[in-house]
Formats: sequence, C-alpha cells, structure tokens
Amino acid sequence: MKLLIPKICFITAIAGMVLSLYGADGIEILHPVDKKIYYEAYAGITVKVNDHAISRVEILTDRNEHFPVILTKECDNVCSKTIKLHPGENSVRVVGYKGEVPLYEIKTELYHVLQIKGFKDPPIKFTEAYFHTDVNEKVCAECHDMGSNEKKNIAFIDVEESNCYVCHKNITADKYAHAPAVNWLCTSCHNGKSGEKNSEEKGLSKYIVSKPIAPTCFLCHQKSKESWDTKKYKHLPVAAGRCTKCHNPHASNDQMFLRESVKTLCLECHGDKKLSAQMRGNSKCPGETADTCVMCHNPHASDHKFLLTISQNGNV
Amino acid sequence: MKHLLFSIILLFPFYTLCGEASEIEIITPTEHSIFHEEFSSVVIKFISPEVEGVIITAESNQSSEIVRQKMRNTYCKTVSLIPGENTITVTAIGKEGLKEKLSVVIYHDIVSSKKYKYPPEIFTVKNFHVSSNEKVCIQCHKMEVNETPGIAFENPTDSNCYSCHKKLTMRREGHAPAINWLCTSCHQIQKNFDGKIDTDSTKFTLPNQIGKVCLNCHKKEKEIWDSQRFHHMPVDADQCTRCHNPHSSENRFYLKAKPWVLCTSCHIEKISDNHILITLVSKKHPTQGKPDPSRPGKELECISCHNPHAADTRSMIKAKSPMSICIKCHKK
Repeated sequence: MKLLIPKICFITAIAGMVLSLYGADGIEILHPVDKKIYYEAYAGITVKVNDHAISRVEILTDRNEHFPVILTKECDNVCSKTIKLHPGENSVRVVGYKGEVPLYEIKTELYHVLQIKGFKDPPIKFTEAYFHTDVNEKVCAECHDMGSNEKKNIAFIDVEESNCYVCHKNITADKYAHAPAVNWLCTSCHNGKSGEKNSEEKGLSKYIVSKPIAPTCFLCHQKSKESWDTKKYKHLPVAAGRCTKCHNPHASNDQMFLRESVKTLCLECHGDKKLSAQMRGNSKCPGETADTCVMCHNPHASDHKFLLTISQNGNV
Repeated sequence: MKHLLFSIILLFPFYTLCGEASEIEIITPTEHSIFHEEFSSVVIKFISPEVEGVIITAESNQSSEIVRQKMRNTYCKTVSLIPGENTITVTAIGKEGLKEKLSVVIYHDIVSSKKYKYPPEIFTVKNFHVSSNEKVCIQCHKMEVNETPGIAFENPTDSNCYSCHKKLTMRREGHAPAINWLCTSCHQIQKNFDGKIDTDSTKFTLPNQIGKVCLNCHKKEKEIWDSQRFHHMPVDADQCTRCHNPHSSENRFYLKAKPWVLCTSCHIEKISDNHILITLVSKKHPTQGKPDPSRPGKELECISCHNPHAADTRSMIKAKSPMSICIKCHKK
C-alpha cells in the first residue's frame, strides 16, 4: 500500500506529460497569443494542424458557440476562423477531432474591452499583443498577400481588393462606417508611428497607431480641432486626445460612430447623473427623443459652463 | 439766447459732478477679471490733488488704508479674495470726508469646486503685464526680469517679481521654482517672431497644456506613467494644475485641497456609493475619517489605495491585483 500511492502518482505524472506533449503537438494556435486584449468584438483564430489523423477542427466558446474550421491541405494545414467575442473574459477552446472523437484540445483566454463598467479595465494577466510581426506574417504569406496594397487617400473601387479586407472585414460591418475604414484606407491611421504616450511600443507592429490618437484624427478633422481650441472649457477626454474612448474609428451601430448610445457612454463616467437623466428622459423636450445628454451639453468643448451648448441665459 | 443760457446754468452742476467722478482711478484689477489664486493686487492712482487717502475694502471683510505721501500718486495693496465673486471697494477721502467710492467686481475661481469652477460669462482672464500697465508701475518698480535661468536667488527678495507676488509662496509647502523666484522657468517670456518681447498681450505666458512645462523637470514621472497601462485623464490631458498648486500650498504634494476633497469633486458618486462592498447590512468601506492601517500615523484617503496618476492595475490600484491591496490593512 505504501508503495502504491507514489506509483500512482508517478504513472499519472508520466501520463499527464505524454498527453500534454501530444496535445501541444497535434494542433497549435498560431494566433492569438494567450491572454490577448481585443478592442473590437472579433478575433481571428489561426490554427495549425500537425496530426494528419485529424479530420475536423472546431472552435468552442464559453457561451457554447461552435465555429467549425475548414481544413485546406494547400495551406500547409493552417487555417483561420473569425469568432465573435463577448465583452470581458472569453475562454476559447480549439478541439481537434478524429471522426467524432476529440483528440486534442487547447485553451486560450482573450479579453474584449468595452467602455462600460466591468469591461473597461482588463485584469493584469491580459496584455496587448500585436499580430503583424515578421514571424506571424511569414506563416500567413503562404496564402495571403501580406503587403499593403492601398494607394494613399485613393479609395478602392472594389474594397474586396484590399489585402486587409479578407481578415478584417467584420470591423466595418456595422450600420455606420467611418470613411477611411470602410474604404479600406487602413494606413491613414495605422501608419506604424507611435505617439507621445506609446513611444516604447515603437516598432512592435507595422500598423501601430499613435497614443494619444487625437493628432491622427485631427489630420482630417482639423476644423474640429480649431474650433475646440478656441473654447473656454474642454471635455477631459478631448483635452487628453482620447477620441476613441467614445468613438469607434471603424464602424458602429450608433450615430457619430459612438461605441455605445450617448446616454450609456455619458453615464459611464458621470454616474451621479443617472437619476437626473432618467427624469429628463420622461420630460418632453422639443424635437427628438429627450433622453440624450448631448441635447443640452456639447460633448467636446464649449464656452459655457457645464459644457452647455448655449448659456443658461440663452446666449449662443 | 435766453434758452441757451438757461440750459448752461442747468447743466453746469451736472458737468461738475462728472468732473468729480475722477478723483481716483483703479488701475488693477480690471472689472470682471478672473483670479486663480486667492489674492489680488489693487493699484490705485490718485488723480485729484484733494484726495488725502483711500480705504480699500474687500469681500473678506478686510480693509486697509493708504495715506497719501508727498510726490507719489500711485499706490498698491494686496487683498485676499474669497471663492466666487468679490467686490473690491475703494473709497477716496478728502479734507471734507468722503470724496468718491469706486468698486470693481472680480471672480476667484477654483477648478476643483463644482460651485466655483465656472465663473459667470462676463468674467474673463485678463493679463496684467501689458505695456500700458507696466508704464504705471515702472515709476517705483523694476519691471524687467532679473533672474538667471536655473540659478536660485541667494536672497529671494532680490527678485523683481518678489515685492508684488510674495504672497504666492507663503503657504506651508513651497514649490522649488516658485520659492526660489525662478518664475520664468514656467512663465516663459513671450517673444514675437522678430525676437522682441511681446508687450501687447502679456510678457509672461503659460501654455494651455501646462503638463509640457511641468514634465521638463518631472521627466522621470512621465516615463513611468507612459509605460503604465491606465492613466488618470487629467494626467493625459496635461492638466497638472487642476490638482496641484504650482506655487505653494498648505497641503502635501502642493495639492489645491485635501486629496479626498479633490477626488470627490469629480468622482461625486463616490461620496454616497457603497464603496467596494455591495451590501445592505454592513457599513460601506470608509474612504476618509479613519486611520490608515497601511500607513501608520496617516488618515485614510482615496490615495491610500489608488494611484492618482497612472497604474498597471485596474481602478488604478496601488498593488499588483485588486485583492492584494485589501490585505495591506485586513491582515489575518
């Protein structure tokens, strides 16, 4: 009996090692790296199948969604599938089947950031990672043209011609799309230049954007900058150059490419106004639906207190 | 002709009254100007030779007298301001008593206070150091800058700025460049494109984004903050002086108010929120008014747990994970 317990331990340890080795070898997740942060709701999962016994690969999410991956032999058994993420922590499993028997399973955790409480600040274990590195691109280059084929400021006649389109098409699928994104002029913003607040990220990706993002936005929205600069009071995210805190630069189902509805966004920071916003929601303001903060407040800059669009005395 | 004579006789007393309306002149402060600090210099010019002195009264119930000296027509006095609107009244006194009463209304704004953050729209920031004003001062004061950049005065009273602005540095904690009267470290001298000093607007300007100036010295902070994941928005917006007084303060870190007061001026909901604990039965977690077990001898405040500038942990917690901050106080 005394000998039995260490024996069992030894056997299970060996079996575990063999299984884990086997598990890692049979299929691999080339992308994303574990614990990656996503700002958009889509993640492209790239799987490499090493064991030829595998007939079918499926991606399973923690919400019981199944995404079948189609294997193509031409691509050296590398295949990709875009899955939709839910806000917050996502646990994704990639399972390799032989017939109906699951042979291999790999887990990865991803985080989808939203500008809503609870999903705003990813836990420390999650990190930003960049896909477009030389190592990764070498793998993709076997099937995809990895060079940027856009002409600066010239829109594609057929957007599907953009080399970026095939992998990233989901991000412009929402109702309202931002012109540079929907015309696939990606490098207008993703110019690879780091800014004042992310100089240490320089060179990490060909398509890095600068932080703060505002100088990039102001390349086109120059007039907005000019008019805000002359105003007495600025909304703090505007002064901090964080346009993308509220706006999605690719596309959105809300007007002005807002990440959420106006009220949801405003109340995220101005939580103390929840009740007064509700009260106003029921009152009848002239014009449109009364429940939006921006009917009276300018979300960017104003000469009037509380960023009111007109002064309380009615002066514009 | 009769009519004309009549009207002249009628109008005469009115003209003399108008003439009397310029016994004295308040050169500064200008009507409806904004003051960020709680002092204002009052400069009065005696115009009529009959004025023997003035009484200056401020909103803070402080009054001071200036008695006329021979061969001198311009006098200065610093008065304290209260938050919000301040009426400064200057009463000119002659041999027969009151000669004239003038007053200006100015506004002392406080960025960290909801009530005093937004001056009514008639108030504007006005700059004193313009050539028309300096012409008046130059009769008694040296108006040029006499500091050597980066070299502290052996005796701060030697600074030409000292005599008018000394109150700025009299609070408990003094910021080095201010108390050493190296004013132009931050208040850079504005030069026109031809290299001449611009005296039409003001000689001493500050950029809108003051952080750029602060971080010239506090470079290491910038490097640390930039490398961290979460940033407090005023930090990213380069608005250091939103919380810090760059001259001096009664509070630690030159803060404009006690940390809890500053934090809750924006994070209002944290005053009433069930902070940390969501429960109906037990008390909410205190945010002030209790000793801080993690920092013996100090009181609990927001910055006991939160980093006000930048952090790698969410909610800008001063620890690797939200839980590990709890055990700093809640030991077994």
